[in-house]
Amino acid sequence: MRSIITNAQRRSFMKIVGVGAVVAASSAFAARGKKTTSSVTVELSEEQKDTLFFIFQEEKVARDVYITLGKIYTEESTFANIQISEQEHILFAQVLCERYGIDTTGVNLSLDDNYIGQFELLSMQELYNQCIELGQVSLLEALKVGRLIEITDIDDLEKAAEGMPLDVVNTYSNLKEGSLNHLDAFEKAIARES
Amino acid sequence: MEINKNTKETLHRSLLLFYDALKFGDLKSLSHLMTRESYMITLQSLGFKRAFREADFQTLLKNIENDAQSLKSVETMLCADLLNNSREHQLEITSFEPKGTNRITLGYAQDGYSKKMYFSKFNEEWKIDYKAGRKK
Repeated sequence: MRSIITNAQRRSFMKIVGVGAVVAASSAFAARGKKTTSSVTVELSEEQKDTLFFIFQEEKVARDVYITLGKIYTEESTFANIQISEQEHILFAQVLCERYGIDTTGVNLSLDDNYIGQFELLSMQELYNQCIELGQVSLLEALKVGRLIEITDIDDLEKAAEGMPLDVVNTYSNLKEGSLNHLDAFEKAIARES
Repeated sequence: MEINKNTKETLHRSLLLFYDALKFGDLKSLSHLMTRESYMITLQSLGFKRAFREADFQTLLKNIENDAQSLKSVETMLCADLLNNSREHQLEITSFEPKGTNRITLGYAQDGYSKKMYFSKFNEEWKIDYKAGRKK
């Protein structure tokens, strides 16, 4: 059944789930680190909550890299298409945080030009700077940067999902599916440009 | 949690030592200032450009958490990269924000840009901890 779902359908589904999840996060789930359903209560460890918050913060790196590279290579639509999806990834990760009572209000996700490419954590700033430095060389190099970002994201999400409850695993699995689609898009663009 | 003067000085000193370690490629000192996980994240960030260009390095970088030899090789190469790209920054402390038990966020400006460094206390010792950004 899963194999016949097209990428376009999957993206559409993710978008619907992403928007719906914001409502679910504020109404159906109890705050302060617990998710309750009629039959089970799931509580994350402090370490798991830290991971959720870190992944949420990290999602901004890919989005901002694609926004900046998209401004440099305006004739290449791959960056513009994927940055929209990356914004959805941020939303997914934010919903998860809020569902488990993790405050995300201190993280500036503004799309204002003054904030794109600005990161409070040095590791993320370093990553962004290196991506832009490499991507500025040529369009082909920029597309290859995108490919490596997606490969790294997929690895990170697989690690982050280990030991997490089912709803977190499902969300990370959706994010991973998104990253696989992005990877596919970058591979096609690289083949076209090579 | 009230942050006393000694703690503020300790965190300030850690921040300066962190930047010095990056400037001089002193990864051993860097590793002592941070939690192991944060150190691994730092190496992965610093190594992205080299991993992009060298497939062998990319493989090594992927294995640093589980393979001591890969870690050592990555550290040696990144140390040289850091020394070659030594950068000086203007730092100014702007705030100390307690984040619950044994966590503090240090706000500072790096060359005029707003930054944060998260710290956690382990065995009476403050360590830079990238995953300590939320209130615990």
